[in-house]
Amino acid sequence: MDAMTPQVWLQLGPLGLTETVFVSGALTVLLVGVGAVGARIRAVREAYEVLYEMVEGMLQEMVTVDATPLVPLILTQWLFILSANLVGLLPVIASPTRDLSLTAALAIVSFGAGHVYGFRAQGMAYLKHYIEPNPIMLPFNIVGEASRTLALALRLFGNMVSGEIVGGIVVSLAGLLLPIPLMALDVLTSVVQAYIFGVLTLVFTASAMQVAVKKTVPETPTPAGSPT
Amino acid sequence: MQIDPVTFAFELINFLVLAFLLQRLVYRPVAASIAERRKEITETRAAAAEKLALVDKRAEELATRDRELDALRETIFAEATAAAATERAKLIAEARADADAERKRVQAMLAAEREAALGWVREVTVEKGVEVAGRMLLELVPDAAHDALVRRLFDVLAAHPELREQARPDETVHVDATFARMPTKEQSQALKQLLEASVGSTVRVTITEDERLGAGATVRVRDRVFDASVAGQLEILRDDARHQLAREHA
Repeated sequence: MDAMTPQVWLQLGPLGLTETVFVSGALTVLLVGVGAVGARIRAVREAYEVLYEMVEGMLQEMVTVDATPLVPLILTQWLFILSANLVGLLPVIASPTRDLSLTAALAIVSFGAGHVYGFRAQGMAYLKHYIEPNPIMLPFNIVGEASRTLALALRLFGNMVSGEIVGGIVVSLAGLLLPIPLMALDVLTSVVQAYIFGVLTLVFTASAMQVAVKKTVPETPTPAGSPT
Repeated sequence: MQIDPVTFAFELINFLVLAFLLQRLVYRPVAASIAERRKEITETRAAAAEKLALVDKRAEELATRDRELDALRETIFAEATAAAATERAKLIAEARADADAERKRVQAMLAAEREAALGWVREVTVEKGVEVAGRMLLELVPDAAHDALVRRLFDVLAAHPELREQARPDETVHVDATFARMPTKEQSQALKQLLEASVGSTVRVTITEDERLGAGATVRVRDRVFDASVAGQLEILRDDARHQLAREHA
């Protein structure tokens, strides 16, 4: 398990900056740099536009509320988590998403986004959903929100850590070439996990925005493509 | 498998910074471009819709015009048909009138032709009848006929004493006498005496022979001609027959 614990690369007094901090920081710089430079190149910018519209349309098909303001958040989560997952395939560098601190931070972002967009959609009336269908359900609703956020963090963390562990075991037992198929599987897992994280954030946030609508619409359809 | 507060805080800030920077540097310009393009598309669609509406309106106008032209064409066709029927009836009537007139003209022409043919037949009949009668007379009783006609000439001359009224005492009247056969001396003497008695003057008779008379003789005294020849009688017979046939035909 020590191998799974991120190493501290820089100690600044009481603050120890781990490998996760540096790798995720580098990924941030890389994503911002590629995005900013690409947006200035006409052909790449047009490709961005096509990709952005495609993502926007895909997200809009999943929810019944207006998904346009959620696109930047979900797209950023996908790009960051996917790059963080895939960077672990490189030699020496460990995937930052195997660090529960990072996945917890991302889950907190999703939790906060749900509340921010919920308040933005209906103001203080948003808090009523904690005491629905009656005030007795308040603790259960709070536990539900917390467990949902915790599940987000643990799902991503568990999937990525398990992949790292299995890969390390296979390498130690069978040599260097055999893990290549497992790496291909890791690529698929990385894409799927990034997709699931973003979609769950979308569904939670959209459901928070949709509370007010539930009062007028008797039955809210299940968002298409949302994971169960 | 612990949550490091430093790492957690850094990752939280890191992600928010990443989202902020991507929003400022990438998403906003891209979304603005998309919005601009959608706006252009919307405006283009609106313009296209306006043009389409204009085209529909124009098409409707053309359809209305087409219907009006169809109605006008139907009207013109009906009027032309009626005019053609009228003209055809008129032409047919004119053709019938022309045909009737032509038929009448042809019938008149045929009647005239028939009349002419009948006239020719009558003429031939008369001519041949007279010719046959004269021939029969001359062949059956040539001498008796000649003598009878001469006697009749004498009777006629004797029955015209008015010739004497024009006589002058010292005048010699020239008389031309034509016989089918030369008369005998007695007949010539008797003729001269008869003429002198009738005319009341001296008579100088010139006698000639003309076989074309068939039988009998003719005498010319001044401006009067006494004809007692077969040819003359046949001519009289011919004229009588012609007049008789003409009266019967009429």
